[in-house]
Amino acid sequence: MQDIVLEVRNISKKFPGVQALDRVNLQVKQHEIVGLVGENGAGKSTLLKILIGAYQPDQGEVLVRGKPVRPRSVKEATDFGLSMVFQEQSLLSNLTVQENIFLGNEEAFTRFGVINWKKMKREAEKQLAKVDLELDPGTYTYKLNFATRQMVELARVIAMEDRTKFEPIVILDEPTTVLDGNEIDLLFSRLHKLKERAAIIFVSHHLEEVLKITDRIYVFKDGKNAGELITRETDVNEIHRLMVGRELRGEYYRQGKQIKPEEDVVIKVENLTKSGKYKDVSFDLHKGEIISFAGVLGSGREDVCRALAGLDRADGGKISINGSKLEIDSPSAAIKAGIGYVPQDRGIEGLVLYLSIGPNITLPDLSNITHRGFLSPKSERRLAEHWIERMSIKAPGPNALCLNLSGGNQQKVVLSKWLATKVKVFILDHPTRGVDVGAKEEVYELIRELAKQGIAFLLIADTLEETIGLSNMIFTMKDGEITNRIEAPADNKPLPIDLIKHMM
Amino acid sequence: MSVQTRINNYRKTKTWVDVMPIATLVVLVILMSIGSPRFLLPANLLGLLSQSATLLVMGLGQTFIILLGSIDLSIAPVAAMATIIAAMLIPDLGYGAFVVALLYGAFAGLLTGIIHTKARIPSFIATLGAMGVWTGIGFIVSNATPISVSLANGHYLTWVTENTLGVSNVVYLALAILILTFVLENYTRFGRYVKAMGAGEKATYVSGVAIDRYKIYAFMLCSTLAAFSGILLSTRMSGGSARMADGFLMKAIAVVILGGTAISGGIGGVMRTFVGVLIVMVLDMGMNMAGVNPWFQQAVYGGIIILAVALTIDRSRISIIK
Repeated sequence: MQDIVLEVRNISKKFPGVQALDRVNLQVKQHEIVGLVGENGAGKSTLLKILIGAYQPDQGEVLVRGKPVRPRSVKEATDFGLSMVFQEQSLLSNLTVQENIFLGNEEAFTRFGVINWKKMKREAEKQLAKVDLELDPGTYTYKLNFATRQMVELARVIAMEDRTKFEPIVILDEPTTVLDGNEIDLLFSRLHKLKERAAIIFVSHHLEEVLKITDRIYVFKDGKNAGELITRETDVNEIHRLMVGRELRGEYYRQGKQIKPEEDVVIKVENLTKSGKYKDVSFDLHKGEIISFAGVLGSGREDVCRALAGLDRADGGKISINGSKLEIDSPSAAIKAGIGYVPQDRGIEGLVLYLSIGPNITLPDLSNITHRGFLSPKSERRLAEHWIERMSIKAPGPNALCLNLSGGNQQKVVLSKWLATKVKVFILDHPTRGVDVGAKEEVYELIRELAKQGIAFLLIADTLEETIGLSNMIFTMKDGEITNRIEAPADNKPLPIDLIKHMM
Repeated sequence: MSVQTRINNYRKTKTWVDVMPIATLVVLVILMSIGSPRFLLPANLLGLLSQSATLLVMGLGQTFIILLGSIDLSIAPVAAMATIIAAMLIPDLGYGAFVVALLYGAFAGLLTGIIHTKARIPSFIATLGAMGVWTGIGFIVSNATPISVSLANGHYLTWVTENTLGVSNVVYLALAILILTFVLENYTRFGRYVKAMGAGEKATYVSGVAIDRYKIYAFMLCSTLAAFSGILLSTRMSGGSARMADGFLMKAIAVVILGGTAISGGIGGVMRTFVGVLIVMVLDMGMNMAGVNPWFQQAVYGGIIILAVALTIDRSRISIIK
């Protein structure tokens, strides 16, 4: 019987409009790798943030080696032996490897306020050896590739065991997103070794990886525990069913309302290329059509969309609308061409959070509310009220700050602002990220309705199911190139596996 | 910090910032009228207002820059240059001298605006550099000696210095600028874009706004108003000098911040700056009456800037303060 080193009991956490976690439980035993899976918005990140002290739970408790703890900062969590390798790498690239490993914990090498670099270097070598990394600890981090940086992060996390005098609990959040196949194998062999001296929580979207590396798997769905599985007794399908937990083929994505696109081409893209990002991307987007790009991080799908939105110029290729060539070198050029971009990072690129709903909707096109050269607050208010009603935005009124709206309602404001400019094409970059389940369905409904009115969509969806469910056509992308074009009519949807084999 | 506490903090700071400046003003006015029964007499108030006109005009320009989340440190030397240009050119150009001074202001703003946006240099540094450049040029052009407007040309100054209906023209001029900037802020795309950029530049860019262009406009407006305040100074002093606007920079920033415009950008406006000017006006008078020496007054305003920012800043919006 292994000891339980970490136990999460009935943890709940609520954000405005979203119950992020609802009485979840989780146990991690000594020398065990536990997988944590779930769709975006299932509550994984929230739980991790609670574990490392970035969020405080509303109720429930966390026990480390049987003792209740309530870390209030990352530093405090580290003192309990809880540490995380972050999804977006957190090493400081302008410091050396050894400085990164001991950042914030320099006391051990400090006498009279002066750091003994030799001693730090020796210690760093010791830590690197634990993850089998042969590397001069004096190397600057920016010189390392992502895989090596990941190992350094791991060494940094493990280094704390020397301070805390007990085995660390290591959290890995999507550790493989920036790694290629060989690097992933290397990471896994090191994790297997690390397991002998630590407990590990492994979070990943890639179910195959989770099946390969973990001993047990917890499935989260909509902030709740949806299942607990022994890895060697389960398979992708079972995990998947628990993650999604609903009838996929049904009406969730409003497939009954999926239309056949019209003949007219709205945007023609030919050989769009940006060196190092994407190459020879060509396609026709038709009136009322929904085309999805499916691919892993680094497939170039985000970059293609940003090029069409005028945010990141392509090196070569041609974009034409109604037969005439267009230079989309800025967002305003894209807007003039009738393209509206719904960005992934809603709070930064989508909305000015500290402005109210009205000014956000009118921002791309103030001419709607300009009379004799001056802005009319009255027209602005009317326009805002119109969109609040039309899109059923839940808000106290047009003067409500966007900051205070829930994710779903914020997204509706972003959509309204483009609809007010009469866009013909929407580029949707993860449109349902951070949007709760009910509001997601409203967004799907809206997309269908707009497609029916002839608006065309380029979509980067949050999940493969969303990709398949919403699209007329799916382009799989890998290493910057379109690898396959898969039709997805309402009555004959492809399976996730049909897409995955062209993405990997 | 959770989203909810962030929202609560925001609400708190918002109401706080809305009420504080006016409350401060009311308290100060009450204290002053107790201390000196003459304080509330219209003649006294109008006198104070005419003395504050220069500061108001300068502060109104700075308001737009601070709304952007930037800062313009070059306004005092730009105003001083304008006094020199006006004083030097009146003999030849008459009223045209004032036009040249205003054009100079617009040009100075264009220059810092371009350096800030196109060369991507923080406004703090771009305008600090401009401050040095214009101070130096001011001393060179004026030979480091004050230039006075001769009595024969004195009639070119009366449009500012004379009274109309018993009130100094400078008061009308300053109030006209207040109305003009209020309209710019609230009823034009320029004002809207300035606020949007200050509150969320990336989203504003994605919405198709020509960010750089409107930032340059803001710097041009600020410098032009600084030059206009220089013109007001030169007419009252009947001359120009490289030192004429000394000490104005700190006060012009103080009135914006005291009025409740957030240094983090996006929140605030010219009416708040007007309240800020009234506060400084009353404080000035109070300190003068109490016989506080001018150097100590300078220290008081330095302290006030820090205190006002400490009270009004919305720290949740800025995770790291540099």
